[in-house]
Amino acid sequence: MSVRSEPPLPAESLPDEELVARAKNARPGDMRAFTTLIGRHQDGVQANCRYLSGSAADAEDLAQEVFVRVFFGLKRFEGRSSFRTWLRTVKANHCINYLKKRKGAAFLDLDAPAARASDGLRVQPVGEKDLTREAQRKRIQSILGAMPDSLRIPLVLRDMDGFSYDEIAHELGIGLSATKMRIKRGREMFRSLHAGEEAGAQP
Amino acid sequence: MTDSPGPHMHEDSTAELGEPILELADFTEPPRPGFAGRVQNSIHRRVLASDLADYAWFAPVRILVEYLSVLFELFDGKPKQRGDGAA
Repeated sequence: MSVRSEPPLPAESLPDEELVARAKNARPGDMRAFTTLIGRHQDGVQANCRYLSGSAADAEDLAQEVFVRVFFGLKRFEGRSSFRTWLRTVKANHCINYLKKRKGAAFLDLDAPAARASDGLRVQPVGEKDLTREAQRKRIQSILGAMPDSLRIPLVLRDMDGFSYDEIAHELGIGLSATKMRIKRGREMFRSLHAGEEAGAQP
Repeated sequence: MTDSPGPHMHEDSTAELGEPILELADFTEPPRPGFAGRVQNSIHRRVLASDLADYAWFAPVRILVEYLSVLFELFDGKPKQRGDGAA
């Protein structure tokens, strides 16, 4: 089987499910439908990989691997859930496996030094009262970057990806009550850092 | 990985602990130029590697089959040739 690069199909005109059907039935090497799917989802996947892994440098490689896995898994995708839901699951599994390999189980340890020291963390103030979209994005980046893995990962899975508490507990291999507690603490910390930034930005 | 909803995939009915961070719901990173091309190249390389691996397995088997068929023809073909010559 060979792969040829051809121009993508018009992204706006077709829903994901139609593109998936076309990608599955495409001639060997015809990547147009899949390329359109990549274009549609790459922003979210890349952001998610970045904040699940905590590494801007690795985010693109992780996102790339997620799409490669999705491509080779398309034959097994039966459409019982939406493509977005399936993509979200592939992405979360891949990023969490990456973290487990890289850091062992330490990334979930609430007693880790990073988690204990996190109460005192403050992010760099942006210094603008009326934030542009770009400045707001950078602010969120720096807040998430300042959070320890043990709080950031459950928070990202819940509030960025929309996983249920049960799903997060299953993905991370921790109990439901521990999951809820981490998400609650993660939200508190996010808001605290956000408020600290806003206070720092006041003249 | 299948897309079937496993037991852990049911929507959680428990109440939220604290308000969700709305800013995270649609948070994205700006697209990097050439990302789709890199994914395609990566897929291309794996397809090529897979084809080569298949060939690496297939080629010795094919050589063996050819060798056996030559041997078979050597021993099985002689009487036929004699028969053909007698006719």
